[in-house]
Amino acid sequence: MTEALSGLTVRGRAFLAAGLTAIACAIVLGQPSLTRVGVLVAALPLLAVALIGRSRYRLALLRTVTPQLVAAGQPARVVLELTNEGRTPSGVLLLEDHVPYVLGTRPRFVLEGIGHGWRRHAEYVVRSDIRGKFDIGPMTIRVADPFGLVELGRAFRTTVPLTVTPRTVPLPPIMVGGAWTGSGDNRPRAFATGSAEDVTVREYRRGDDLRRVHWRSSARTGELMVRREEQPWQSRVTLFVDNRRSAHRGQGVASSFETAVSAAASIALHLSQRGYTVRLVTATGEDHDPAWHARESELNTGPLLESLAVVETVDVAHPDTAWLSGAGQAGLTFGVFGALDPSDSPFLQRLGQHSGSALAIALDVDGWVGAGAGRSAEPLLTRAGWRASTLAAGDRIDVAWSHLGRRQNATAVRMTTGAPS
Amino acid sequence: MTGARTQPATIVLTSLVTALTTWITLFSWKGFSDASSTYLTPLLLGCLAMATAGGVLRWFRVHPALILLGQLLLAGLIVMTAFGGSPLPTGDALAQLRETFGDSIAAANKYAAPVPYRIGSLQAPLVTLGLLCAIVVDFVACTLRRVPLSGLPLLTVYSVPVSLLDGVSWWVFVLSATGFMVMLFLQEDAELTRWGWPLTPTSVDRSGFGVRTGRNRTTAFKVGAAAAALGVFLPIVIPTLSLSIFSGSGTGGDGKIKLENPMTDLRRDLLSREDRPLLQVTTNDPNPRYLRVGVLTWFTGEAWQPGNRDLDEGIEARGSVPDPSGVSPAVKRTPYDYTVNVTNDFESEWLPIKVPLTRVQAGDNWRYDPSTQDLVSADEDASTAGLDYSFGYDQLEYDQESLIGSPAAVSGDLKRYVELPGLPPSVVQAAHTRTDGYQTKYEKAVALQDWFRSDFDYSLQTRPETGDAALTSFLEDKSGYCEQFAGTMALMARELDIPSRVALGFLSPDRVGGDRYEYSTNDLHAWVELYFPGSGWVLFDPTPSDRVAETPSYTQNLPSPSAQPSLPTVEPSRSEITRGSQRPEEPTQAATTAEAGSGAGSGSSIPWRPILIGLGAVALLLLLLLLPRWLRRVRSERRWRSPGGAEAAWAELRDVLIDHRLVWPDGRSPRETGARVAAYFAAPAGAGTPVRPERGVGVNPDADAALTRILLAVERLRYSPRGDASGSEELRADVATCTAAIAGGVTPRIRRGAVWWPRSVVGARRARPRRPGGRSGGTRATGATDPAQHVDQVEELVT
Repeated sequence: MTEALSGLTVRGRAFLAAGLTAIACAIVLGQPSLTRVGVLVAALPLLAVALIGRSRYRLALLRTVTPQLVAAGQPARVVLELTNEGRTPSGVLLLEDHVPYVLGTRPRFVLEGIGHGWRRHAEYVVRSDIRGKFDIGPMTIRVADPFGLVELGRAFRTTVPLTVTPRTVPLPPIMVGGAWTGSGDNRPRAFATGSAEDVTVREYRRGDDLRRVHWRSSARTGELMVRREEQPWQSRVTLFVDNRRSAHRGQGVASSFETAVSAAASIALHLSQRGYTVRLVTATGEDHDPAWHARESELNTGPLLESLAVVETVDVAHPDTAWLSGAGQAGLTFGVFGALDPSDSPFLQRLGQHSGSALAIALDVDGWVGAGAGRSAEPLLTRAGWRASTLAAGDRIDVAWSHLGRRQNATAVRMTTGAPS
Repeated sequence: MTGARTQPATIVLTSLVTALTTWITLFSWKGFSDASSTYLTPLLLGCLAMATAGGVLRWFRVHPALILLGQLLLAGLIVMTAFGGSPLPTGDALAQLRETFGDSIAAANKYAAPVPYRIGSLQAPLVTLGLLCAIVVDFVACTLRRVPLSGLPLLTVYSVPVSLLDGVSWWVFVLSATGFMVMLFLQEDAELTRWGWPLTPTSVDRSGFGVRTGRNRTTAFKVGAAAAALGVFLPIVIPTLSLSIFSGSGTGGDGKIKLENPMTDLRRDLLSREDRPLLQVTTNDPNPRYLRVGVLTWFTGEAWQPGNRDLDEGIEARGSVPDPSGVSPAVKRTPYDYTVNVTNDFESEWLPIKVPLTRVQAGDNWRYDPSTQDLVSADEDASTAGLDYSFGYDQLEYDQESLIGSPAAVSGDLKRYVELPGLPPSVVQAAHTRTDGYQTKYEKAVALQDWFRSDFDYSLQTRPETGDAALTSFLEDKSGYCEQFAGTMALMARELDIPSRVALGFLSPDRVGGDRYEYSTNDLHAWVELYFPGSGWVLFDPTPSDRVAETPSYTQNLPSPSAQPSLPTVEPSRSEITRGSQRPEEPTQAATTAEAGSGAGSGSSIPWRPILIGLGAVALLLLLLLLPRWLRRVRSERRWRSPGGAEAAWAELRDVLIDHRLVWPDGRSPRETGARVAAYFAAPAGAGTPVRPERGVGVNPDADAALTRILLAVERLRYSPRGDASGSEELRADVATCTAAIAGGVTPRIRRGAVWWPRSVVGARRARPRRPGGRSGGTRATGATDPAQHVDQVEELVT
């Protein structure tokens, strides 16, 4: 009741004050007709308080977001299921789902007179053109009386995350070279962590021979595990995204960085689908998750795209190179670069030498602020031993990608033709 | 429908409700004139016109300022056409308009409300004002959508008559309040609809979630009805409650008694039970009664009014004043002197004096009017508050013989004291029937006075009517207060061609020591003065003996008329008794003081009403307290009377447990339940019972045995094909044993609670254990095959 009293709106408070004043004046002046008005005006908010303060109800909300990972511009469906487990609330319930504004309008519902056991589904669609991680919810509830004199705020607590991944474009298959050149798991790993069983068993999959079931591990883990008798080769790709602020131009969705992320996501998706194991590296170093895992490619794309969904520009002068010192780096390296200057050459050279094959897409970043094209980092990269292709503002990523494939062929031709000379 | 545009139905509804609310509130202006339909009917059409104009303009989304302008123009057009004769403000029309308004305003200034229609029509200004109010309310409530703010103009409309007239009838209040609350609800409802309206219809499944069942309307109705009922009934209690705060303060500076519109003020002052001293008088007069304040000489057809004064010709109140006209020198005179101190609480434009006045010293601001024999303030701002003055007067000792023998003719100046508008037939008839047998005017006057005093009751509870209706109902009810007695008798006297006027003043003071007397609020009174040539203005008092113990001496013991008339309907015996009781000679000084001191004029000193109300409230409270206990007993008795004694015993046992705030294990077999119940048993409560007695099986073997018998009976009834054969009486005794055992096991407080506030009858809802909050609901199984859809959140909101 106290809470309801403090929930009086400005209107309610004004009514109460006016009513009491009128009563006081009427008493002093001896005007019973004025007392009536005063009593009426003062009684309205108090009755509303009594009404709202008395009501007890219990609402349960179940929220489902499908899917939780969407590409930018793709819709996600939010399904709400609300149940009233208590009595009929005496006021009006104003429900508002707190959806970030980039996802669309906040859905609002007015509920009145819902009885016990009332259950209703509602569904709405959210859509974002901006990548990122968003929290859908919490749902807030305002309980109001019919005259707008009292209003109580309530809120559910939980939220549901929705990850909007960068836009990707399907890329044409090109010869990227370095296939099966990664450090496959054809030789046993160093048992740095866990026991031998951890490495040499995997969960049972349909079609596995029952004779391969490793009963000891199964007993320990609680589900069927089978011995690994063969180790598949892994083709590993390191995907470097240059997210230094100095390397990019433009603001927000229209910035060159967004294009870089989009390109990186397209490449990551493309390579994953072609069986590569991709890990993401940014200017601040390796992604938080040590990504060299024997994961299925479909499973790999999820976290990868999630990482790309939240990657932001950082203020560092030179990319972190600590991750390069780790073992087994030899493999394919892809880079998506913005503006580069000669001081970056050592890093580029080190990165290029470290990998079996280094390919890069260099963004002609000045084009994004309309400063005219022409200062691509492609020559610098080529000098550092990379195969690079320029992506200018307005260019299509898949075109740049196929240029990269053609360039490799050209290099190969040059190598064959240039040998005698 | 394009987004936020209000639906046409809503626009029509809000405009209509607003217009009607304004019109109903304007009904409170009914009392301004006795021909209220001349302005209320046009105002209804006017309000509807304003609403229509506003609604149409709002539909076309015209700028608010333009809407206001349009409405003002329309109102001007209506006013010009109706009162100026032409819709265009031409010279002639304006002149006619000015004239109409001038007449009305002059009438309104001259006459107090209700202004009689034949004197002046208030149609033009009231219709204009009403239209303006309608525009303001419509503008604020509908155009600006600020309904709460529109309460202010409505309140202004409502409170204008509150301050001018005697009040507004309750149904006007209820209807206006209803209208206002409907406006408020409609606005809020529109806001809700707009709030819940999705901006992009495709994004939200509109039919999926929002529920508008109309329950909100029911709730609004309940709250509104409760508030309106409170508004009607609570003020009945409020003044008594609040004024008791002031009553102790005595001559406090607040709450002054004003005499501006004497009649209504008089009744109000009498109604307020607070007895505040207003005047202190020092005099050598042994019987200082009938201190006169003012006189009402003119009956408008609705009420007595002071009449017109020409103060410029008045005599300054510094020294002696001329002899009253018409008093023959033969009348014996006794001069007395008065010194008066008025408290700050008494504000009056008349100076309290006694008549006939011989000299007065009251300062520059006061003028003596010889014709009415009263002193009126010459300066608008001057009042009696805090004034000290002195005057002298001659007490006249009339001779009954000369009064009876006074001539009947009315001449000259006195003609205005017999002027009468048409009176209701009942008044005319009564005036003549009551006086038919008497020869002289004086005897007729005494007969009227005695009739009022013997056949009528004194009561301040009167119907709020004016004019003819009030007169008629006064004669029908035979009950009223001094103003009605004096007013009616004066009218009847005029009907009988006796010059009459109504005097207002104080009846009798309290003696505060020596020759000092104090007049207070409760002493306010009204009486009649009748003119008899040779005796001048003679005082009569028709108010019954409840209020006025004795009549003037010259009206008592009237010698029997030569031809004793047959009083048609008055029971002779009763009138004889009344007269007989007043036979004692002039009461002594002591008697007068005692009477004044004990009763202060209101009849009895014991405030019966509040005491009765208080007793009633206490009785009601007791009844309410006893109610749960009684209900519990009734339920138990009904149970025992029903067939199937074992089930009745079982249900009774359950209720006993609930009464004692113990948990009845639901949904278990009788035996299991019995085991639980037996654990509550203790020795029956006695003098030496500890606060927390020992409980459990074996503590009270009698109760254990009784419970076993009840259990067997229940089991037999439920499970045996033969049924149960136990007698109801034995079971009842067993339940009583168990009840005593249960009651012995709880604290005395709970024991008392079980008797006085049995939870099985009241508070059943609260007795139910609360479900633990924050319980997480069923989480839907999350399938690994569908990784994207795995977030299930169940939350609960408990308020």
